[in-house]
Amino acid sequence: MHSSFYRTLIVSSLLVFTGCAKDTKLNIKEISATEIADMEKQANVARNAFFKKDYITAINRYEPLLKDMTVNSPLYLLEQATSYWLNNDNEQARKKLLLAESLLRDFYDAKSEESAISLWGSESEKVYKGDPYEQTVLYIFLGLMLLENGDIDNALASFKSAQLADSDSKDSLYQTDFGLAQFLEAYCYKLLDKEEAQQTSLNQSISSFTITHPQVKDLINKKQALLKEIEELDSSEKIALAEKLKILNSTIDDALKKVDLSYIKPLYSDFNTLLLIWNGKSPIKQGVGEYGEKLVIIKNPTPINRYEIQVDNNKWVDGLKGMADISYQATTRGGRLMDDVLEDQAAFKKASYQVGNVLVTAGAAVALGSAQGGSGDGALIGVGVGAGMMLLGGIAYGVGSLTSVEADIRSWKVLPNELMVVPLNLTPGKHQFNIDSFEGYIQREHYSLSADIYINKPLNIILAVPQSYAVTTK
Amino acid sequence: MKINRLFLLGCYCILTACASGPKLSELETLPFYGNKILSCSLDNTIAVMPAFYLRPPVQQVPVNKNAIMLKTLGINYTKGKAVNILMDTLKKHNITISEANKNNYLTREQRLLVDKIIVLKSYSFKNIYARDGSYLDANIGVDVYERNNSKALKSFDVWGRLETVELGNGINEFPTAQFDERLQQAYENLLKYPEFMNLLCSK
Repeated sequence: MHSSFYRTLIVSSLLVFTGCAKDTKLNIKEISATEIADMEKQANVARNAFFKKDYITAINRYEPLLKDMTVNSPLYLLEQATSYWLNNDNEQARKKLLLAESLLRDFYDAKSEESAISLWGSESEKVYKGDPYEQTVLYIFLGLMLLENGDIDNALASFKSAQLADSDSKDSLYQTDFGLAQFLEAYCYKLLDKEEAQQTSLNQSISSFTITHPQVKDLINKKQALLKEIEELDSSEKIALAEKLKILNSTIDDALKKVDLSYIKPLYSDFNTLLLIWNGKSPIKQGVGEYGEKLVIIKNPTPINRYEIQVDNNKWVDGLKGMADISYQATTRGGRLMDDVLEDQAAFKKASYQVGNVLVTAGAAVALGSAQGGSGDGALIGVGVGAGMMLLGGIAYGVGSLTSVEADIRSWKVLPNELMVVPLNLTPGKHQFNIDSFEGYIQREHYSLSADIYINKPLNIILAVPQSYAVTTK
Repeated sequence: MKINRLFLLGCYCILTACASGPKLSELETLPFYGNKILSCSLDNTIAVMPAFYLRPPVQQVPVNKNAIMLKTLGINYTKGKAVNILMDTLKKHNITISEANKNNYLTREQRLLVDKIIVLKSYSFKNIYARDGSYLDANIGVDVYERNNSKALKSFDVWGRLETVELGNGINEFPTAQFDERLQQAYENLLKYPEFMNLLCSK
């Protein structure tokens, strides 16, 4: 495992050096809080086109927003990249993701944040950096694009970066539990003939599936909260809680034994194709409180929670849940439930009604209203993705100087609520997929797609998007 | 003079009648669902699931400051509990239940083992107070589905009732809640209902 790590590090470092040589400059256009809000309104038009599956319009609508380099550019690059991907233009998607990543990379590590600040100048406080779950998804999407393009080493670095973004570097308690990132890391190791490392990553992936399973995750959330409490107490008080922890551990052990691991048996199989089913819409960020100063993340549950897939009108397989639950990842850090989470829109309405009693904390209020002087020019470290990713180690969360009371609710809105995973071993050529979506036991939708499978690709990635992003039930 | 006396006597009678209220036996009865719990002639496997939009009863917001807010019952009674009581009631009466779908981590193979599906759409509670006790009612709404049909076969709306000698006024005095027990009564009434059982037990 270690030798593979160093190999990846060396490759990544080379990429950074070559990237540095390019020494691209950033010319940042300063914009006010009002202009940021206006841009968001225009971006909503692009997002609406996206949700109508009119990806060409969405792509074109982002173009004027990306004409100048602004603090919103990383966000719109990510959203435009998503539109390209869903429009089956993987090359453009990869380029846009690489550009977004290169703009944001330095913000993700305390050590390199200073260079990011010099790069963005006085605008740095207002840059959209994304929450850890958005950073994780960026690296997973980028890794998939790189892997499909045959760049296994950088894909591996990207999947590692995804895991780092999901962990809390300041606190070893909160390790990543994003199963898909670990599963893809295992696949990269397999391609690199690193059997031991592959097994380790696969085991981590299974562990993430288990601890985020609905039968266990609430107990894990409780344990993480208790561990945090114990850590902050003095030794005499720790003893009382240690007993509580012992009982909780025993309950967790019992719950873990009950998780049906045969459900994820397909993850162990040989595969050359990964069908990813896009389910629902991303969680929502909202500002509550008298001045909209409190940031809450609202889960965005969807009635559709299962998929069954028929391959070539023959074999049926299940879409696996629990590997990339973006809503869950948005509302936890390494298993610790954030205290600014609301279950759904109904809960948000209730919270808004009784605003004084809302169980939220003041969130990442970004200095949207403090546009000041300064050019903001700086050296952009090229587009070499590897080493930047390897350096990534922290969470740029809550950055900002609170000079504006309004919480920063900008978010990557064109993400799914969850990605369902289907590993498949397919022969080269065209294949047909019939996809049934279910609300539990009840079928709600049916759609079909076809895709070409190539023998020379390290991994064929097929993205399945339902007919409608917001399926309703009777 | 005589008219005044009669008027006063009339007022007294009305006031005493209001203060004491009706007796339980004078209150409205529940609809009749059937005499006894019916059994399934076929050994069908039944799955139970909550509707996506199912939520606990919502506390009513007062219209204005002077309105008296009657406490809505069961606002903290989770849908998981309501579904579990339904499953327990079915099991108690020897109906075969699929345990696979507790968290929607369900495979096609497991789904195909199920014959009929009961979707719990709503549940709510009501207390009715009389001068000699209270009725503790529960109301449930369910849909019955066939395995391979996305349209519900039929919807059912059923009440269940417990009787208690405890009194309450619905504002700050309540009898013991007994939510589990009254829900069980409602579910058992469903199992007495021939139309429901015919659907549940047919192929």
